[in-house]
Amino acid sequence: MKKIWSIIGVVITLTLVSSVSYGQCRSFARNECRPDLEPFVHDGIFNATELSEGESAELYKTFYSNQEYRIAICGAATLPTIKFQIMDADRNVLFTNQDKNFARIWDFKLEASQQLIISIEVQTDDERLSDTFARGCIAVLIGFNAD
Amino acid sequence: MQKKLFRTAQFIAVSGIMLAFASCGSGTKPSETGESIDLQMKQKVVDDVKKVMISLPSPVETALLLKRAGATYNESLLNPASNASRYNTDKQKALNLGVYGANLSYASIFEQDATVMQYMNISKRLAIGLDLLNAIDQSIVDRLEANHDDRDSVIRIISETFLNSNSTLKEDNRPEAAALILAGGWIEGLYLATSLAENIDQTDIITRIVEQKLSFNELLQLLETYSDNKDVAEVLEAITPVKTAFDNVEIKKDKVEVITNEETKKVNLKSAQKIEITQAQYDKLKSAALELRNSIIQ
Repeated sequence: MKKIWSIIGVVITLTLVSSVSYGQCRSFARNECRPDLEPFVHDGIFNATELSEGESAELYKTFYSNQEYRIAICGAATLPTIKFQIMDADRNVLFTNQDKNFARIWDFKLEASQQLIISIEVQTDDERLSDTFARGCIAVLIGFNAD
Repeated sequence: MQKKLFRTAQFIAVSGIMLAFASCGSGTKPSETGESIDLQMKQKVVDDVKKVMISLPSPVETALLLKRAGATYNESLLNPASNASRYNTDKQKALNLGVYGANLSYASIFEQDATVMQYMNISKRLAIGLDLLNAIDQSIVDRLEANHDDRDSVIRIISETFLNSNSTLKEDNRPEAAALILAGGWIEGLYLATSLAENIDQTDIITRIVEQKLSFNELLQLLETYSDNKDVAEVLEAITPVKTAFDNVEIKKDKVEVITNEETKKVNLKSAQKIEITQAQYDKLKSAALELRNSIIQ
């Protein structure tokens, strides 16, 4: 009987942790990442995913000519460094934050409208690899200059 | 009794574990045994297929680009507020929440305060109809009212409502509804733009319209992700004439060169672009956009 209540307890805890985490991903994007876009205006699109160490994701978006943009990429505090690259549609690398001390933001302007690919990768933390796998929310937010 | 309780515990255990794994959370996994780490490593190889996200332009950005391209404000182009009560299905509500969101954005960029307030209230009603109770709550409407004469604040508040809607739907595991809202907004943006340009001599605005071909491909990609959903499949079908019209226009561009201004440190992605469209091709696109939009708001 005790065992059953233990199982129920563990499950309820897991479920609660899960629900809290759900909200955390959104509030993380809103509270931790969105301020990085200032003074640009967030485009209102919620791009977020959950990644583990060593995993990667790509975001495809059309950016328009003569418009100033800011890309802000933030990962949960539990995650190791996030590397991001900006590529054109032919996958030529235009920017990597590795050259900028893993900066979380990049500002740019385009002369011709085009689709860009934002590639994000959670670096592997060798020190932690043996006993833990970090996993967490990563938000990719886009801001534009509305002046 | 004990057996029954054990079954309940089993059910809760399975449901809870499934929920826990399906969630978007953050944190670290506890220590694992050598064997399970090995299994995870193997799983990681399988999972090495990159996750893909598609991001469509926001209606606010589209409206801003149109204004800069010389577009004017024409209230008669908006979906009438009185239409809102007609939308009963989730598909109609989602698509038209996108449509009204685009109308709201267009009105805000041209500082049409009264229309902004009216369309925010309509959007709120549709959002509630989609169980998005907190996406546009009364505090947002109040903030909008208090800041109505500050265009920058208005744009930021509208942007926040878009973030609330699409993040809530994604977290509620309703990405199809989020995709339909985005589709409605995108289609309305194309309709507004094409309604504001009659001929291809209006170079700046025509350029912005043709450039929508780029994000149209992203819209298709987004909808195709959820094509198993009946509502999304219907939109994919309805959008075909717009695809055909875009297939006939061309956008050519050079290789991108990254130029950094040493003084300001501002980065410019330099490349030339050439757009090719005939009047007949434009007319076809304009009429396809009109027909598609009318099928949504009817």
